[in-house]
Amino acid sequence: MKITVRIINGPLTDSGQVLRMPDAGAVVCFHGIVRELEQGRRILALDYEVYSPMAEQELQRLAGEVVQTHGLAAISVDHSRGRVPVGECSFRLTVASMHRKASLTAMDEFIDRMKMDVPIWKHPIFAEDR
Amino acid sequence: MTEDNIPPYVFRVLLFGPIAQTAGTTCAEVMIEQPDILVEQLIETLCRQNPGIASSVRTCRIARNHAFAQDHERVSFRDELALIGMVSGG
Repeated sequence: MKITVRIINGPLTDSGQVLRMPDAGAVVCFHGIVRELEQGRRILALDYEVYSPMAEQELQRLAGEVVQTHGLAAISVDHSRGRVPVGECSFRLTVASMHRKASLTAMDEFIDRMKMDVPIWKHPIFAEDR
Repeated sequence: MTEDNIPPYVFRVLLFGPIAQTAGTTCAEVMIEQPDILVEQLIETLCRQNPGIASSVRTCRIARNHAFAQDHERVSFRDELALIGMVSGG
């Protein structure tokens, strides 16, 4: 099994990890994009505050648990730190498994748990404040 | 004995996100007479000594040296302590 976790300054501009493995028939990739509206107000960007190295450690721990639970072949997690403008990617999760159901379920579970346990906070930069 | 080892001991607790904004600081200091304390006692003392953030603190968890600590665990003033409230990554 392969686990990759990266915290990257600014938007995720590269294409991320390519998870091609001979025993994985399903590869699912989720891209989290900074949307224009936050709490009904227009924003210019999100500032991501990351508590390192705990955030990386929690992502690694969570990835390991999800791999074990769902029998994944691989998982790759990228998250931004700092400012990410509207329309840019701030989070990317790629999982690979033998069959699609494991990947789809694992992806949902990972994101739900990340939003409870991983010490990352987003701060909206509202357009009206600029 | 160094100055660090004379009570009261200063427990420094890192703050993030909305709680840091409310507190106006990224580090709360808690003065305690003993060098280690239960997590639940640290939270109670933190609330008592920082009433401005007390209502938020009660819903938070304490991290010790980059891992979540349980209420019944002991933490030392030498540990890196952080208050982890509601997170919002992704």
